[in-house]
Amino acid sequence: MTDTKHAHPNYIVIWAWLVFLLAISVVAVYLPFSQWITVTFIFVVAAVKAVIVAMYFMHLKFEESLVRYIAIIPVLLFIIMTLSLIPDTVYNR
Amino acid sequence: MSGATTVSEYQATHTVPGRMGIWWFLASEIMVFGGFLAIYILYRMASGGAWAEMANHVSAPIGTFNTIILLTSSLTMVKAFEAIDNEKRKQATNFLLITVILGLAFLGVKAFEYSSEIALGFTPLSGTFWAFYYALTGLHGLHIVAGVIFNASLLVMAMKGTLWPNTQHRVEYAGLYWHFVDIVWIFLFPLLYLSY
Amino acid sequence: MTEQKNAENGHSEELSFWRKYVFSTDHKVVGKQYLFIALFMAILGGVMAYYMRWQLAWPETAVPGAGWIPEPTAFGGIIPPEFYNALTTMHGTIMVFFVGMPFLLGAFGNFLLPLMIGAKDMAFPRLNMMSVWTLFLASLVMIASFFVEGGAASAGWTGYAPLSADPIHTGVTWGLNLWILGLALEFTSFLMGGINFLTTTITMRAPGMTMYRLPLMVWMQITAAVIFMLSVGPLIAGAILLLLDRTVGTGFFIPELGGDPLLWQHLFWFFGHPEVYVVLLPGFGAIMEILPVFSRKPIFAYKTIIWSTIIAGALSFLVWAHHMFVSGMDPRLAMPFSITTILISVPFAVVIFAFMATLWGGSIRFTTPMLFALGTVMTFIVGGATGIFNGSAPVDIFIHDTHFVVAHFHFTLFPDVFLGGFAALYFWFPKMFGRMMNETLGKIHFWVTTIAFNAVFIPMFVLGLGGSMRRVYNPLQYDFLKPMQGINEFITYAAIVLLLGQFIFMFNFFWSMFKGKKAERNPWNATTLEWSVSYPIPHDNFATIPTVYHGPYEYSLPGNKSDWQPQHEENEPVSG
Repeated sequence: MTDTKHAHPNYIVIWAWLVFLLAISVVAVYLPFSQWITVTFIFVVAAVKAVIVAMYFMHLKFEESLVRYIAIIPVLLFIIMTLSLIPDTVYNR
Repeated sequence: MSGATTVSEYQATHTVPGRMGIWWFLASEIMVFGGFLAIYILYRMASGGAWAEMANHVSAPIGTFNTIILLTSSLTMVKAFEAIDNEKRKQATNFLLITVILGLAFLGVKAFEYSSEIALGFTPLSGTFWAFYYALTGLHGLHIVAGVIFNASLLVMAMKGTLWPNTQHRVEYAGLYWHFVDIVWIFLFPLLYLSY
Repeated sequence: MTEQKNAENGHSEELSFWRKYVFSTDHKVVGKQYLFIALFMAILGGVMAYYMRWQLAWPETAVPGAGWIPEPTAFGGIIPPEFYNALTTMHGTIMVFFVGMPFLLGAFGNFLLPLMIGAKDMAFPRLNMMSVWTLFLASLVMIASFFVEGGAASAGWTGYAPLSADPIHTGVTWGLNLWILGLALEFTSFLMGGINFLTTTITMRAPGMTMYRLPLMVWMQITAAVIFMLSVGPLIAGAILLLLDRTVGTGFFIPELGGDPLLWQHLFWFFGHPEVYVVLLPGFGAIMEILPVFSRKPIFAYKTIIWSTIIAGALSFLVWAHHMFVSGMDPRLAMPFSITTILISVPFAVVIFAFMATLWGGSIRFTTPMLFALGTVMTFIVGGATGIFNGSAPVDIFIHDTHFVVAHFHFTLFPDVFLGGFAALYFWFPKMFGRMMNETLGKIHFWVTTIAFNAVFIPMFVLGLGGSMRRVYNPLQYDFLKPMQGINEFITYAAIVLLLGQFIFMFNFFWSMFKGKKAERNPWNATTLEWSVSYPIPHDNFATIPTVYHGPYEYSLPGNKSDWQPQHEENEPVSG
């Protein structure tokens, strides 16, 4: 179980990407698109940012597959939970 | 299921216990925050457009500023980890110090935000959106407080020099937690500040 | 390095009494602490059951043995409706969270897991110590909630909103806040435990101990830990909101303030259904260890059992709304959740058939642990089969919230927690306390428990089909229930026998601990690693980490000298 060296990408570039993505999602709110498009866009951007943080800052890209499953399965699970609650909680009140 | 096994066959994993434990902890945390966000999203969808008016009163510029603070603190945290890997102790200590300061700055901005909102009369009792706003940012804020305490304790150890040679890997574990809290904020920010 | 560790271990007597027996990081001591918490809370839960049963059989008469309870909780042994509601709530909460989980996961998981995988301790021993003391604190909070003004929580063990969200409905103020706090502490405790179980099993197995050589007990423990960790999160989020509703005055679950009370039910059962498998699987794990030992046969379909339980665990996240068919939720959800519920009985049926196939053709020894194991399988089948009735929406609409449901879940949880737990305790007692439990008393205990249990809950099915609602304070208020009062009285007599029968166990347990026959190293001739170390097991378990050469259930191998093949002994591999 040797665990001394990790791969270290250029974190500053990654940080710059994150700030850039933050900026375009803030700007997008003021652009004259329909609400549906704007909301979809900013959440896709948020998801991309989260994946970047997880992959590079949290080193998920360099981990073994078991660790990736530990991270991904709960995400899928709560998405499934949210989707299956929509008919009841949103449309049946 | 018979015969001898070589040592390489036995090593089912090369992940050390500490990191494995942190990841399982984060998995349960994902479900706590995931459940919380799910409740918020469901209520928000059910509310139709009624919440948009309330959501208009949170300050997107302050939220953006705070997001940048948190993203930058994630950067310095991972830089501290990189410095530890490269045996640069002085650099690691400095990056930890910046991370702690940025964490405190986030909390300071958040406290300013709370007080200005309460001054305008928006309390947790001013409607379901505000109740969610305080509950979600409050729980996230408590996680930030916990993270700042972990990081500060590591910083003290780094300054005294007792972080090495046995406990420097804790910077990595604290970092994983800190980045996770950052990811939560990445979703909280558009949910609370942008989608009106 | 091993010698050095041993030398250190030689000094372990110098640890103070507190560090050795109270604030110990030794997983074996932690496991025993869980055991004692669970047994103590079981007594509490049992007494509550007795008070409730007496009230149901002879309503509003003084309960013998309840005279000590001060007013306004009870009046000279007569139980008022408010206290009855608190009893049903706290009986459920305590039995599931403070008996089932500590007994099966806490006690046996902690005690056995490192021994079975050949590790010196848990991955995070201090976290382990914290988990048991967090549970202790949680138990104190739960007990304390009886003594605050307004009494203990009385909104049901499910804490349905808006009943639980606003004190005006039940009159319970701090009792329910403490209930939420106690549950939060309990969840924290088992999250810490789960992280430990999983990390230990994944990273600290002995050389040669591949995942497919793990004893099934370990598999069941880690499956349960995963299910628990992934299901409890949304309920923690919901509980925070519920607490805010109660204390701050928000309206997350209060309809008048724009909240959605049904969402609480969704969140509770999204956790609640996986939770019953969290309790169920470790109990089954114990059975899976015991059946092969006393049949002298390998367990049937080892890998199929593992994958069946994993599939059942995954499915358990998709069945929750079968608890809510009559709740007023969207009726379109009823059909999909009926289907998943009926599907989930398939993997469990596979496991039960594997149990039977394990017994088939074996040379069965009817020792006390084996009797309890067989009793578990037998009674669980009744519980599992009646679950199919509850799971299909049309039938459930008729029997929902009747005593049929109460009988059903007691037929699943009681065999698992108590029969399975007792099986495990009789089986591993020699390893835990170095002595054997008395076999004769054990067998009497088994027959009294099993017969009395069936006498309690089989009539309850009839009662439920007759329309008797659960959580009803006084059945005599309803004319259509009056003809069935005889059944209620019979159930109460049987329940008293069931509870009195446990004194046999208590006597046997404490007497054997000090005066029982000294146990040999491997009294049952079992194969797994925990039987390779002798009592008292040192703090770091194994002087040298064993190397594992065999699967966990190699019994009656043709060509072997003995009819069992310990996992750590390198013999000539036997083919066929």
